[in-house]
Amino acid sequence: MYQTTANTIMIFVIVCCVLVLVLVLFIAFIIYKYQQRQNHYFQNMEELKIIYDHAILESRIEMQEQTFQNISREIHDNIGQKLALAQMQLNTITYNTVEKTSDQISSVTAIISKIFDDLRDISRSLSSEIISQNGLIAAIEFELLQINKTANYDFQFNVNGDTSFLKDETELVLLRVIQEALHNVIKHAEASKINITLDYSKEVLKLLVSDNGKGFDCNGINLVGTGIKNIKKRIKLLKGNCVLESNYLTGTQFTILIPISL
Amino acid sequence: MGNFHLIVIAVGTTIIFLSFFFAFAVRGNHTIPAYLNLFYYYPLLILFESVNSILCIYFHLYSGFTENSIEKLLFLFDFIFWALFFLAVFKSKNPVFKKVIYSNFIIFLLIMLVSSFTFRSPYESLGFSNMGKSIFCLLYVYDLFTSEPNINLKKDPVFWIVCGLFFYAASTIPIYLSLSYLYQHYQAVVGFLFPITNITIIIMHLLFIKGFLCIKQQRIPS
Ligand SMILES: Nc1ncnc2c1ncn2[C@@H]1O[C@H](COP(=O)(O)OP(=O)(O)OP(=O)(O)O)[C@@H](O)[C@H]1O
Ligand SMILES: [Mg+2]
Repeated sequence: MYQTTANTIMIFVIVCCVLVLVLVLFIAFIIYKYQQRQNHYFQNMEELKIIYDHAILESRIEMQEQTFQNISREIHDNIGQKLALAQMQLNTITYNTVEKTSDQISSVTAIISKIFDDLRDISRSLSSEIISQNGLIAAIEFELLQINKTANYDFQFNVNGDTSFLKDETELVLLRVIQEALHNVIKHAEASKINITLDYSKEVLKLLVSDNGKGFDCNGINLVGTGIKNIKKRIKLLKGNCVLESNYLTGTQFTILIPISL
Repeated sequence: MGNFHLIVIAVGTTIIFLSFFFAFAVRGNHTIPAYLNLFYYYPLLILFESVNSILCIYFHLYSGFTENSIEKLLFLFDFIFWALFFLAVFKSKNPVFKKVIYSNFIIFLLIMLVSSFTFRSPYESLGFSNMGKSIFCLLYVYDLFTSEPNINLKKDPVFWIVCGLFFYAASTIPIYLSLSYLYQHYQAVVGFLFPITNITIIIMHLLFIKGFLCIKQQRIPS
């Protein structure tokens, strides 16, 4: 009797030990596999983050280049002209009568104060600052203003829905995308009308840039330039979606969807 | 064997009380998911089950039939409790996965109901319930390996709870399903298998306690 009891307990203990061993192995295996997957995942995240940061930096640099171009054009076309005019007027001051002289001088003063205004505009024209201070919409408006200084387009800029601020970086990339699209319109489309629409809804921001230009074959050939490729790459990084449609009847249309994550 | 069985039961009851205590201690903590706030119902359920057997076997308060019926009902609650737990735990938004979860719940609930009425003893229905729970656990593992791996498993209370449950449920399925048969033909074996199920219950609760200790650890820094 005693013997059998001891035996049973023995078997019992062995069974329990086996079960517990299986349990421990099971838990260890799952934790190990999970951590493997986790490491892999974090590595991927890291890489993605690097790519993302890189893209942001690129956008920033390109935008600065654009701004420098704007500034140099402004200085050359606008301020240079006005300074030349002021110089000419100063050269032609006659000193015959006090009244005439003071008239001439006050006209020069007026020109100089205009130059001051222009300079102030220039210093305000850093797009990235406009974005961080006044948001995407103000930056787009400013962009259109800049374009209209050199070219004459019939712009339509519409904003629908409840506007919400996106992350600074997202807005920056979006502005850069819009700049690139507008740049293409100016460079290639031979259009007269440009339409930009921002559609804010709860979860996505829909952005539309369209022109009424000559269009191009956007599916057939490999695109030579970097503009459109860049746009697609960046929208993908923002986990968005972009569709390019173009034909010679209606012109070109860029539709971009960006998720709004709060 | 008799003394040994008693020891197992005594230790088991203590552990279940402990796990109830821990589950009760963390409730109302806003940093943990809501379903863990209600987890103390679970050890309570098991205590009810023990009390039910004790009242019947040692105090003869009611017949074995009543005891079995109460037991079946408690097992049903137990399964529903776990189903709700898992429904709250799963992260996947995949509609197919959701369908699988719900159908698993409904199918095993039906099987349990049917077996409650066909078998005299409650253990068949518990065996099927454990089968359903094991499938839930496997689905949890699947969910774990398909959703974003952003949790620290070693500190995740749900993981430990599911491990405990899986251990208990999976290892006792064959025992519970064959218990009636064994009882008729190999009575000696039953006296030996029963403590094993108790040991698995004890280990399950130890893992629950481990899970709840994770919550306490999480709470300290906040
Ligand atoms: N709005 C548009 N209207 C007509 N053609 C367009 C328009 N946008 C792009 N294209 C055509 O698509 C081509 C590719 O454009 P993309 O912006 O990628 O390169 P690019 O403008 O030529 O060079 P980059 O942008 O690098 O200076 C252009 O060469 C042009 O022929
Ligand atoms: Mg281009």
